[in-house]
Amino acid sequence: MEKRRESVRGLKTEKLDWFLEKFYKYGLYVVFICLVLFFTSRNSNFFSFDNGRNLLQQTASSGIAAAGIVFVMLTGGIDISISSVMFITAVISAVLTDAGLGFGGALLVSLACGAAVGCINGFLVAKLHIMPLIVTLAMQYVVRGVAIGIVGIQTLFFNNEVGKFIVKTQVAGVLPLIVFLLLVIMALGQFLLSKTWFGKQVYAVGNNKLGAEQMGIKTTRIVFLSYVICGALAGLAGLVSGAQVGGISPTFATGQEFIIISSVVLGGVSLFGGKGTIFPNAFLGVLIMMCIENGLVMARTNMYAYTIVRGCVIFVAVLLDSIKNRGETR
Amino acid sequence: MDKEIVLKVEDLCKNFGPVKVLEEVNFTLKKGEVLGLVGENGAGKSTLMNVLGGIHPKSSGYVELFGRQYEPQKPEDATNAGIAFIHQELNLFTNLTVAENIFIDKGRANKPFLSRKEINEEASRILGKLGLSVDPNSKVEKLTMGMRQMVEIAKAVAKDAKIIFFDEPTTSLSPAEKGTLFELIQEFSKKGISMIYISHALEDVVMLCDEILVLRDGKTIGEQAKIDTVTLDEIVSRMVGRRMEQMYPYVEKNVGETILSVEHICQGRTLQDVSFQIKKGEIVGLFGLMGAGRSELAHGIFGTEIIDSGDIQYKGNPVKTINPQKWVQEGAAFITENRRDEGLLLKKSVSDNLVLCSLSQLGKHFGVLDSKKQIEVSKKFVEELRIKTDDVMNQKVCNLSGGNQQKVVIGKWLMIEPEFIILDEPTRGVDVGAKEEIYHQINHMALQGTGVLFISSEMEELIGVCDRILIMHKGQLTGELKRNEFTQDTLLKYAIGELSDGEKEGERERA
Repeated sequence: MEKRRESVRGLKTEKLDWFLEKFYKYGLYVVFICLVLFFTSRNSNFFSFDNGRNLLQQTASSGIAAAGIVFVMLTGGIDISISSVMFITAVISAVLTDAGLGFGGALLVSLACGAAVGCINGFLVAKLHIMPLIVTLAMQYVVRGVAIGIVGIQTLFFNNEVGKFIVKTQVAGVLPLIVFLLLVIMALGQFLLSKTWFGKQVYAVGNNKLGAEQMGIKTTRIVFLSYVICGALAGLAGLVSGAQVGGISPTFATGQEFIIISSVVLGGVSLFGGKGTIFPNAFLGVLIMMCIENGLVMARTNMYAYTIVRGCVIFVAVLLDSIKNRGETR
Repeated sequence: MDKEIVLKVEDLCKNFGPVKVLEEVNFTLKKGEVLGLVGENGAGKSTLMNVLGGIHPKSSGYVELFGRQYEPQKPEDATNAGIAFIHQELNLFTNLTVAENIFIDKGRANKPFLSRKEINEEASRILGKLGLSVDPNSKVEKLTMGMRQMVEIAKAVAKDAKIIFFDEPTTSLSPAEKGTLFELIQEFSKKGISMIYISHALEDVVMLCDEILVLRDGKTIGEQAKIDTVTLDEIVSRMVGRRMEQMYPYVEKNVGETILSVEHICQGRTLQDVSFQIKKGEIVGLFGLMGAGRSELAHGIFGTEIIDSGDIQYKGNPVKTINPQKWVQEGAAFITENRRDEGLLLKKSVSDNLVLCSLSQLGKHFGVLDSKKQIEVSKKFVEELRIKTDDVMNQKVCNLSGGNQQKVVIGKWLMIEPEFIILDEPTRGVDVGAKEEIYHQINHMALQGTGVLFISSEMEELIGVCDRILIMHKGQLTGELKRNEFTQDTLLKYAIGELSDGEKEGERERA
């Protein structure tokens, strides 16, 4: 009955729905190409191998964190503690590598440290049923506070051997290590989502949690694991970002969570859960967002323009997401 | 000769707190048989399903499944025991493909990875067995409701279900889809799958089922019977019972001129050309089965949902823009069915809730509330409605019982002294004592000249309280009965679409 009512009322909006479906399938590529053309017309250096590689390097840390948050968002949740997780893992890996820890060790420590925060988030959300926004908002403050407690209010420099190794290494001579990491993470994440039952159950929980429970899907476990994955990848993103930036101030990565979430939504991952992919959705979203910022820099735009443009992009992305999900029968 | 018994339920009881929802339910289900389960709304059919499905534990009684004791603790227990449920609200994941939906909970025998090819092939095989031509790789959101239902059935087949429960499976199906479903059910029966078929569509039940069981107020009425040994009339009379308690205080009222007139309201397929009038001081009942469009009509009139076309006249003037704020200004009120979500601020005090609609009358200067006056009027209403609360100003509404919550909702609207009011299921989930007080309040309003539209699924209360009853079936008004024409049989026959106004004359002659 629901469906029929919708079809009668939906007549006027049928065209819009058709447009949105095509837009999320092909439109983002078109937008991306248009952006590239536009910025190239402003500064011919924009469309060059070097700048392309540069763009991917800039995308690396947000892209890795974005891959993680897709899991959480697919279950219908949200995690805004990722910026603080990035901060604390950047701090911890800077301190530990100064004390002699190698790259492999730093990688494991940052993943583990992020996963630990993810465990707390996951426990509070999945087991105690507290609202994700509130849980992760609290964690955002707590984790940043702990990290500042470790190092004090000072800018920490991450320019030891490991830091340089992360930034400078090129795989096979052309591909920067961090871009390689980004691609591996995205491929693994997407494999998990589309080729395993765990991934399908993540989609199921986000679509119809009650139904999933009634069918015996272990929803608590699924939701918990999503937060753990999200935390671990945010931790890794912190390591990458810390090495790239070099100077880790107490405000390191603040506001990143919203940029990442909105990029992902822009790419077509729904805020309402159950819809979206890491590749291409989240990847394209992050890339477009970074492309806008990079292009504006190269076109020598006033710095304040970034936030205005970013704000507008976020608004449009969320608006489209809401329209896409209106009156849907689940 | 007799077929093997697969499910035996003996003296099954279920209480929610002090409320007895199921009382000594007894029935047996034989291999390959279809058992029809019928009863009015709230007779306990869904609860029975939930108890057998492991969603609610039973309070007492004995259930035997395939000769062994059966005590499901969680939904998986029912699935593993070979019971599948096709709920009215389908349990599908619209963002996944058909094949993924069919196998989602299996985890494919501890294999963490899924092979799209493998599940698609297996899904095709199952769908093919059911004679369906659905692409296993298409997303469920692209399918029609009928197709979705078929996918749900395919899930049951994939789990190798021996017993399938159908809960109102036909409400959202087109006639053709219904035909396919019925063929499948007969097919299953031949293969030795037993089914329990719950439906309001009695014709379907009579056509499909081998035996029939009637539930009323949580009890089985009469013996479980072979379908060819009972008539439709007998089934209806078992469903409605013959009791009429004296709890309905009908009073003679002075019915005045027309206050509301509704003409040709249409909304998609849910409302088809509905017209009626309500006069001052008149209580008009609106009866129909679930999904008949009663609530939709109320929402359409009050403007909380948009109607496609139709005219509304209020106090003789046409209503141009229909929206709730306008209605309230005009002195009309709407008490929704969903009181917890729509009618109450659960975390606020009784008093805060009571004065919510009449805040403007309580203002002092510059819009500041006159709290003395607030206490005064709240206390008056609490007394009048006999709301059981210790502290009018501080007790939160969520701590009141269901009946008292409902009284708060009614009190809230009474404060604005409405000239026209719509009550949607005002007594649902309310105990007998509170019901009586609510009826008194309704009568009280009508005596003061308020026109009342009283929507209910309980025939007894409509018959007891109303001056006139309108009956809806599938979005249309099928009948209108005056007080001297009220009988439960007639009401139900109109509601299941067996009678419509054209045939009323014939029915009278027979009677």
